[in-house]
Order: sequence, then C-alpha cells, then structure tokens
Amino acid sequence: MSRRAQLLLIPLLGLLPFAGCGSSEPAAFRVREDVGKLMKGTKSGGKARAKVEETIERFYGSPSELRVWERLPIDFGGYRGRVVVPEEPDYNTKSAVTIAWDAGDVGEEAPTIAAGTRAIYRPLAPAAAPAESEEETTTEEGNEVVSEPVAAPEPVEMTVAGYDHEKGLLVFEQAFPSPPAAGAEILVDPGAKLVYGKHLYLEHCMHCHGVTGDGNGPTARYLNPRPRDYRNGVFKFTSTGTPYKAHRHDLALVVRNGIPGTYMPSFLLLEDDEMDAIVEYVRWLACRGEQEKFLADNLLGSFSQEAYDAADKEGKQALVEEFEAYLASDDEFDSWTAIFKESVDDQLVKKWNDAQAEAAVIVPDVPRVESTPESVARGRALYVGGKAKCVNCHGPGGKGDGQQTRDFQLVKGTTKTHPEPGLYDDWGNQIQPRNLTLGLYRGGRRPIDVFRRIKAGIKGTPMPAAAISDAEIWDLVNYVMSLPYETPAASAPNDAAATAAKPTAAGDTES
Amino acid sequence: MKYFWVFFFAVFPLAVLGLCFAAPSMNWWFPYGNPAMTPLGQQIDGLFYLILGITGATFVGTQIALVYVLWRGAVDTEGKAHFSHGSHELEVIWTIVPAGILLFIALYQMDVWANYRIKANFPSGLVAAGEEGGHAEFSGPIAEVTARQFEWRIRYPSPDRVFHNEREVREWLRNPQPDDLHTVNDLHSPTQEPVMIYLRTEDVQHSFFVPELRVKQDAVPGLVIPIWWQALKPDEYEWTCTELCGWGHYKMKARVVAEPAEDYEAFLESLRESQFDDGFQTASAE
Repeated sequence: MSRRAQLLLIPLLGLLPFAGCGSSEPAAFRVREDVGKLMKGTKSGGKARAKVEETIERFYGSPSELRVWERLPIDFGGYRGRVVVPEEPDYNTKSAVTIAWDAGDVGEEAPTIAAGTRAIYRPLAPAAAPAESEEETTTEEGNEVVSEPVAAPEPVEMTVAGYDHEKGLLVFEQAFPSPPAAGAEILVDPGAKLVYGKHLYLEHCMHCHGVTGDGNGPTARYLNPRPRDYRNGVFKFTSTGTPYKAHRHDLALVVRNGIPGTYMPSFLLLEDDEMDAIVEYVRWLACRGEQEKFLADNLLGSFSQEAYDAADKEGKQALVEEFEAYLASDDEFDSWTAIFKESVDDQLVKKWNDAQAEAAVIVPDVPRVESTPESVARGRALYVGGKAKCVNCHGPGGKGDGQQTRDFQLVKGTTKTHPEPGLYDDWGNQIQPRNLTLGLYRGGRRPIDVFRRIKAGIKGTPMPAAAISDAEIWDLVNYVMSLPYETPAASAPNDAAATAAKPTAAGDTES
Repeated sequence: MKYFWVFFFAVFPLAVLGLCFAAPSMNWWFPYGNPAMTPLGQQIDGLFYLILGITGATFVGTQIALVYVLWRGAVDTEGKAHFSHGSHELEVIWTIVPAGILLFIALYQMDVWANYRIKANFPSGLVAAGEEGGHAEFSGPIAEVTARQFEWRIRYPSPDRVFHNEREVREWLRNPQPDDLHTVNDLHSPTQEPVMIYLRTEDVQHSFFVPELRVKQDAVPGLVIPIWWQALKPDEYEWTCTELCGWGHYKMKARVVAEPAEDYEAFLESLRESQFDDGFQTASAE
C-alpha cells in the first residue's frame, strides 16, 4: 500500500465510531397470527387475508405513517376549532379566520401553535349531505388525505403561518379554496399526541412490548412473566369493574409505578404530557389489535386457509365466490362495512368510553374496616371458606400453591385441557397465582388497589371477581395484607376462627 | 521533518492544558459546573484537585523534558550520544520520589475515605455505639433502597418509627413492616442534616450514583451497604445506575429530592396518606 493511501486511512479511522449508524429498515406493524390463518385467495378473488390487512392498514397506517381515525375513542392531540366569521372582518379573509376552539382541546392557556404547523380545513358539508361522514386524516408529512366516498367536501390540507390567541386569529400560508363559512371545522396539528406517543413508545416500551404492542419485542423472550400483549384490549390491573376496560389512570399508574415482581420498571420521571401521550398510544395500539382480532375472528369461521385447502376444486371456487359475495353484499348485517363499523362502535368506542366514566371505577361502599385481629380472622375464614375460595389457587399459606395449580385446566372456550397442569391466562401463558407472603403487589399496594383486585378480579386471568360484600372484602384485604408480616406466634390466635388447615409455612417470609 | 515531532509533542500537551483550563467554563467539568453539594463531596473534590495538580505538574514536566530532548536532537545533529547501561542512583530516585508521592496521597486521603466508607466514622447521629447501645441524637436510616432490573425501590420507615440502636435497625432491614412507606425511583431526604440509606440489590450488581452529591456506591448481591450524605441545598438531584446491569441499564434514572426538614416530613405524611388510601374518603370528599 502506498504511503499516500496509508495517510488517507487515518481520517477514515475517525469515522469508525459512526459505523452502524444511519437509517435502518422502517418499523412495521406485525400481522396477527389469526389473520395469517385466513384464506389467501386466488387471482379471481377470495383474498380474505389481504382484505383484513388492507383494512387495518387503511385505518391505522404504519408506524412511520400513522393514521388518525377520528371514530376511535382516542385523544389524538392537536387542536380542533370552528370558524367564527366576525361581523366586520379586519383581515384578509382569504387566508385567515378567527377561530373558536373546542372546550376540551384548549383550556385557559393559549395553545402553542408555531408557524409551519400542519392543519386540516374541513369545509362545511352541503346541506343535503348525510350528517355522518367518515372523518379521516393522516399525520406526519407527505401523506395523502384519504376520505370515504361520502358527499362531504374534501378536507384541505393547509399550513399555519401564525396565530394570535388574543384575537383568536389563525392565519394560513395558503388561501382557502372557498371563503370559509362559520362553523367549518379546522384541525391544527392533528395527531400530534399520537405521534409524540409513538416516539416515546418506541424509545421506552417497544423493546419489550413490540412495535405492534403484541408483547413480543426483541427482549420479550428473556422475560417471565411475558410483557403484556395489548392487542386483546385487556389490561390486568384496573380500577374499573369486571365488565369494563381499563381507565386511562390505570395505565398511567402502571407506567408510573412499574409492576413489582415483573420486569416492568417504573417510568416515574416522565413528564405529564409524555405520560398522557404514551398512555394514549398504548390505547390506540390496543384498539388496532382488537379490531384486527375482531375482523379475523369474523372471517375465520368460513374463510380460513385450512377450509380452503381441505375443499375440492369446486369447493375452493365456491369459497372464493362466497367471499366476494360477502364483501359485495348489500345486506346491512352481512356486508364488510357493517362488520367493520360494528366492531369499531361496539367493540371499541363504547367499551373504551364506558371505562372512562365515573360509574366504571370501583369505589367501596364502606371505608376500610380497621385491621384488627378479629377482622383478619374473618378474612382468614373467607379466604379458606367456600364463599371466596381464595385457597383453591393461592393455597392455605398464601404461597400461590393451591390445588388448582396442580390440576389440569380447560383451555378457555373449549373442552380440551392444557397439556401442562396449572393455571393459564387469556394470552395462553402459564401463570402462578400470586404468592401473597412476599408483600409484592403488582397492581399497587394501597388497600384500595387490593380491594379492587378482589372486587373485580384480574382481567384476562383466572382470578375471578369475588361475590362478597364490600365489608367482607375489606376483611379479606386485611387478612391478605397481614400475610407478609405473619409470624407463627402472632398468627396462631388469629387462626382460631379458621376451620381449615393452618398455614404450613407461616413466618417464612422472604425479605 | 525533524522539527515536526518537536512541534507535535510541544503542541499536544499545550492543547491538553488549554482544554483543562477551559473545561469548567465549557461545562465539561463536575456535573453542571457545580461544586459538590455535600461537605464530604467538597473534600473529595479537594482530593481530586490535589491529584490533578500532582499529575498535571508531572505531565507538564515530562513533556517539557521530552520536547527539550527532541529539540536538542534536532538542533545538534553532530554531537555524539551518551550510551549508558543504567544508573543505580537515578533508578533509586525515580522509584522513591513517585513512591513517596503515592504514599502521601494514600495517607492524606484516609480521613475522607474513612468518613465516606467506614460506618464508625459516620456522623454521630447515624451510628449508635455497639449493637444495643444508643444515644439521644441517633436517628438511623431514612430509607432502604433496593436496586433491581431496572428501577430503584425505596422503603422508608414509618415516620412514627424511632430507632434506638443498631439492633432495631437490623431488625427493620430484615423484616419489612406493615407501616413502611414505599416509593419507586424517588428518594426524598432532608437537607442540612446527615442522612443515611441502606443499599441492596435484588438481582445483579447495580451502582447508586448521585453525581452532584458525590455519592457513588455499588449495590452488591447479598450485602446491605450503608451510605450517607449531607445535602447542603434543597434541590432535585439526578440519580442514576452506574454499573452496567443489563439491557435496560439506561432506564434506571431516578431522582433524589433534598428538601427542608418540614417539607420532608410533609412528604412522608402525604405518602402515608396515599399509601393507605382505601378509596372511600377520597371518593366522598370529591
């Protein structure tokens, strides 16, 4: 090698630390296993799998191009307002409007709207157009706006040039295509929160929970218990009643405090707006997963690849035709749009909104019963008794080694048993009932947290809601919360009330 | 070319010295350009400057000698080199002088090290005489900090709990109590007075590091290690893990909140209130 070439190598060495940097493959949402089981179809149609993937992609986008679909019960961020036309406009109406913000979006404080922010202007629909229009916009740069084939006018993408909060004056770089009418809707920075949440999620959560929220990120395989798979829309530790989904606060509480006894660490130092954005993004991922599941479940009965493979030539042709007919069907209850809308409105919007209501949150009827030896003894009686049946799973000593952990359990919704004895959660993971002697409370250690675990059960797990009164639950809470501190000498008198076996391993608390 | 190396070895140390002097104003110095926020930390900084002075002077001296020799060789190409098989005297000198310096540093820092690490030398309020002994100002630890992958779990004794002697502290460390208060990644401590925590780990090795307080201590599996400090200023101090403990090491960012004693007590009270929340009062108060 010539001397000059050697000299040239020296500056190149300086670049070594940067090796491996640069843009990698854009992340993609992973398709659910159930969707993979759907019929692939042929050239002439019957592409059930592609149809589901396409639909989900269309309404949710990809990680690098998120879609804001306003039908969803998600706070996507940005500001929404309506045009107010003043009586004497003192500005150029071609590119500026006064705006009245929606109450929820802008409070007392002035919104921070920088020049260059993206905005969507929605001209008023003609009077004859149907009231309900499919609202859909996209986020991030360079995406086309997709609109449903409804008679509403096309939304127009604009760029904010400036904003004066005093006057409520919003100025755009472009002129409006037509003079804006009072009441026309303007969205400023739509999806800002979702995009922010995505960035934070990819930074903090993705490597365990996965890009898709399927609990299958790169580090997930090293973890036991497994990271939560959001795609069923089920979260374990909630303050809401049994039939409800999780409240936003519940997700925030888990992110803030972590889950002791698992690999979920605390993210206490996140700012409030960061926390909001992450929680909202997780809810959005849950919606996306649930909808994918719903669509797949709907089609799997008739249009699985398994059924297709099993069919003879005519049968295959019939399946393809049936699927095409299914999509094209005008019957309100059969058509693709109908199941799609039903899945969104019933499965997502209503359920997620209901969980945010005050009525969904469990509040005890009575304050906590004082943790006296008598209350603890009553709790112990309930624990071992037939009414609450805690002992079946959690074991006589609260060690999480009850009889059920040694029995073969039925696979949920079938008559088959699992191949291994023990309890399983709805995600198919084998799980242990909580060892109550450790003093680790995954859903929080406040009495109210333990109360809610007992009252509503733990969603997605075999832990059922207890059918006992609130006062009884408090007794049970007192008993359960006394377990980590139990010593043989102290527990003996309390046990007098209990008829069943005494805790065998009491006093053996792990520190 | 022969002057190139003279120039090179002259410029390099000068640049290093220049950087050294410019560093504090560029915020490349101690965390956030601040002096230590604890008296002991200021003594540690003093030791740092002492060692920096000694090594700096040595560095400058050797570089001057090196440049001089190179320059001599470059100027005087005719002179003959002196060949030596070694000098016993010289070797004794260059062994004894650095050894003396090291011995001086070793002895000089002992006080600071003992105050930092040896429990018997901790401020009097933090240690009681013997296992059963105690004295009026004895206060015991403010918390037990347990590191785990990847967070810090903190257990405070109940504000009502009074430790009289070491035995009670040990008992408390061994047996968590129902009235203990718990937080994660958020350690509060009063300012001005010396405070102590006990550090342990649930899994692998971690390290407790609060740069502004100059406190750094490994958490070692199986050990319960006391650490103390005396924060001079109420502030939120950054607290990190400084032992590569696994893939989520970077997540172990937390904070130490030093606050005046009355704020600290108010914090414990509010913590107690929220931890024993039964959801009933709060609901009816709304």
